[in-house]
Amino acid sequence: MKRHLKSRSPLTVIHVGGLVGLALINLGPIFLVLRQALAPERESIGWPLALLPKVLSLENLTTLWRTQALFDHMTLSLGVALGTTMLSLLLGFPAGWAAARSRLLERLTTQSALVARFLPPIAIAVPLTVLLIPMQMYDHPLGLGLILAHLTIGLPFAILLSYASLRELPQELEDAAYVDGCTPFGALFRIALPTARGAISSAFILIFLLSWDELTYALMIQLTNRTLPPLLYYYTEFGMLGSASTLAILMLVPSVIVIVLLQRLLRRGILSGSLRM
Amino acid sequence: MPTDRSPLPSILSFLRRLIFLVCTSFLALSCGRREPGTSEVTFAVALLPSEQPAYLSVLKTFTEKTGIRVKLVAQQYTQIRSTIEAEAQAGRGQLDLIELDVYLLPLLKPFMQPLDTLMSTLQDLQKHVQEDVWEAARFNTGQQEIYFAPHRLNWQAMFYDATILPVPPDNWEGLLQVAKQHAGKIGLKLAKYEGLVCDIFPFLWQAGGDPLQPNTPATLKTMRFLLQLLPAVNSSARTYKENSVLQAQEHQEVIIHWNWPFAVPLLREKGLLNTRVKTAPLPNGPAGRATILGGGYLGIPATAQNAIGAARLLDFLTSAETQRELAATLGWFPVREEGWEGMSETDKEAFAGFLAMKDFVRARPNVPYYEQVSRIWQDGIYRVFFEGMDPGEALAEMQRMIDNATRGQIQ
Amino acid sequence: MRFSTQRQFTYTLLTLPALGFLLILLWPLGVALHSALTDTVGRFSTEHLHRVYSDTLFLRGFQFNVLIPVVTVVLEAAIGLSMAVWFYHIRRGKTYWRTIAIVPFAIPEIVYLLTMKLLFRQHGYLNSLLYTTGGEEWTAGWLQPESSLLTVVVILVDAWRVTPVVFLIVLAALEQMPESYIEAARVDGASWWQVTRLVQVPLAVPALVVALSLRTIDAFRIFATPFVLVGVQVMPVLTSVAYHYRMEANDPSAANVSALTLAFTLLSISLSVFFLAGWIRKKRT
Repeated sequence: MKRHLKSRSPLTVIHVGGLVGLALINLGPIFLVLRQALAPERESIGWPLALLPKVLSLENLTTLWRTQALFDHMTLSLGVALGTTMLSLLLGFPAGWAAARSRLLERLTTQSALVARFLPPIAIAVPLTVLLIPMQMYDHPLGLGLILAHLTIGLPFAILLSYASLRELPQELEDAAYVDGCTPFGALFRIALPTARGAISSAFILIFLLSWDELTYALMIQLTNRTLPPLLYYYTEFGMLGSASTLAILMLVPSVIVIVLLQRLLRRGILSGSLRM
Repeated sequence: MPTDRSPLPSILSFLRRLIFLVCTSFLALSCGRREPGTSEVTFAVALLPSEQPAYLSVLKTFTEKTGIRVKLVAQQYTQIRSTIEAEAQAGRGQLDLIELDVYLLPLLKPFMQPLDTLMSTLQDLQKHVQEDVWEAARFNTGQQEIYFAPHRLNWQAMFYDATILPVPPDNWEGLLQVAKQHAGKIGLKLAKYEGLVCDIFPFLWQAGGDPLQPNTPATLKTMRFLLQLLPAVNSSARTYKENSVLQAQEHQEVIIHWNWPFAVPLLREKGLLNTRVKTAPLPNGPAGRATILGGGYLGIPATAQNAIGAARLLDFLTSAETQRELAATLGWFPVREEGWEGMSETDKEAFAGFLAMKDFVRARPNVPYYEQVSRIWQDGIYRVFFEGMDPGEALAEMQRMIDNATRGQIQ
Repeated sequence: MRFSTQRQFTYTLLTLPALGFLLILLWPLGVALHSALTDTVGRFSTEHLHRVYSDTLFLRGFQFNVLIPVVTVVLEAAIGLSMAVWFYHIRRGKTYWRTIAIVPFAIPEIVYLLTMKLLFRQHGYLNSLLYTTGGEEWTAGWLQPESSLLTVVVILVDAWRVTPVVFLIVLAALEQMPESYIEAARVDGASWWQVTRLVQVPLAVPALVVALSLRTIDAFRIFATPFVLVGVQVMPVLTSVAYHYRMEANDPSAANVSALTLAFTLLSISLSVFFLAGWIRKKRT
């Protein structure tokens, strides 16, 4: 109890005031997006702007639905994010496990993952706009080129996260399995995979979000088959803030699900570990 | 704490099921996606987000008539251009019909198909469209093949705030007068892009200059005039593009700016047209009046998968009926002379400034290296306006660079 | 021994696809380097370097690309650390407050920037609020080009988005510390400020160093914040300058010069940051 701040002291006032202020700063703007999305577009040019909309309408959503193949953009975004996540984990988890088990590979793998993690995307994106063309993956309708580009972000994460969680798994556990006649592949599936479940799910969430939110590559590679972030940018750039806000709400849905899931991981300290990557 | 541990497995299993569901449905969707066959045309056009609803209803008429679905891709010209270059290089493409800005036509001609055999209405269209409109798409090569058909015509007019300026300035002196009285209220589009030269070239022509010949007394006169105007230009002008400068006019941050016809319906929708904002001809310069030709031209890429369908859409979009409808709903100027007759009296009033400029429209230099010329001008203007370079010196340097570009082209 | 060789073989086999992919990254980098350093006929030439390094857009981009990240990282450290110390004392509803604190980082970047644009634009909500309370003279040009206010706004917006990461890492480190440390200090009559300064902050430093070394590199890769808020022309940074050269001016060689300049600057910064972090760690033990 002593750790509590004493009630009714000036500190308590600052404390409560600070928390309320924080909530206002962080949640207020999200309310504005919601307000902008639910009001007709003509309200976004008034002056001064009212905090509450005069008319509530779904006009922005219906216009978007009519004019953009919204469903196509959403499935493309989702497909790219899922494809990136799956491929990253498929390639990255075994590599991370091997790095945690083999002295020989440890430095090589983690260090190349770190270097890839620190490359600025733009340095890859500019040459990719040229290289993807003959591969017929530039502006691909299923976003294949974009998945490839996003792998450069997702894979280092997958490797480093798997490596960090498996390094702590005692070698004896696997040794026992080998004595029982288990092959290394068996050890991967029966021992490493179940133990690293928490790390895998937090990697899954992080990589999914990285790809779902990614703007640089998407802006440069998907010119006519756009994912949601460049589409949102297009509406923002042309001052159609109602439509942009509607898209923003659509983009927020997976993020909100993820934040709820993150709470569980936060409590177990898995997330703060993975943010160090 | 045991209560802390329990939710995780159930959440994870829920997550697993969710992911499985999403994956399978995505796979099913992408497999079940319609193969782009003869029944669909993919059409990339530079529409503003606000223009899309009206344009889509025009396309709906086409689908009802022909049974050909249209997949509309609204993008900016530069992005359409990059896509076409990429598709040409890959040898395979998704776009069947594209709209290009007039200045991009010479650059992209190598990647397009001639329309002569594809379009059934081409001869009729040629008869009804003014010769100088075709000129922009013909590249002075003496070839008779046509690669681009006009979709909409544009030129700039002046927008002014009638509540502050009862009478718009009619010549350069008048403009300077306004500039002196209303500091910071002039809205030149000074962002470094094609729109910058669209605002500058008309001044150049009004003084009798030529964009390909910067090192002349007429150009120097223009630059000196613009430098006099500059203190009155809004300090945000370096961010101004067509839309942002229009928004600035709506909020009275600027009281004069130059813009394309698309702005008229937008202002009308907001109830500002003719109550506050009016259109007027561009001010008269020492060598007379001039404004800049813009406009979208349609073409079929060589890599189009459905060139036949694209040609049908092209026929439809350039038909007299569609042109009349586009003029009525979007305020686009018709490419056919007869389209003008369909213009209502209210529209004639709304577009008054534009109509007055109809006979003074000039095209940008129709040279294959135009893009370089434009960039040389953008850089040069920035040096003079914002880096304090002497106009004479800057123009001489620009002349050298343009001459180099010309020589590079001839070699 | 037989087992070990077999295992080593499997490990290598499993690593190859991932390593192979990372090695493929060298290919675009090579292409970029080639395009930056050759002229139109493919001979070695520094023509593009000269051209880009004398372009004012690039030079302004370079300045902003140094100024913004440096201030951003300092701000992130200060705010992240103080928030973590503060949150350490929260008992009731901590989970909820923590969720609220990480919102800017948890929502997609482009959505976060849209909210900031709604707030800060000339006729946005912040100015509307100020206008209704104090009239015209209370409003400010938050995103006014060439103004120092714009730089401040961009730095704050950029820092606020990533502060939650620093905050979470430091908070996790603080929470691993036994409560008895603080109890002991309290019993000895230490004030809360002394507890913070002498017990909590030193304990948080290793985590802070880790968090900041990562954030420094991320901060130098800044792209979307100035790009979405005001555009390339008003506030260029090296990434958006490269974007402009490639997508708007259609000049891939210049784009590669700009992007590679950033990559090489980053490489040297990350090397020095890691040496520095290692040195600090060594000094502490």
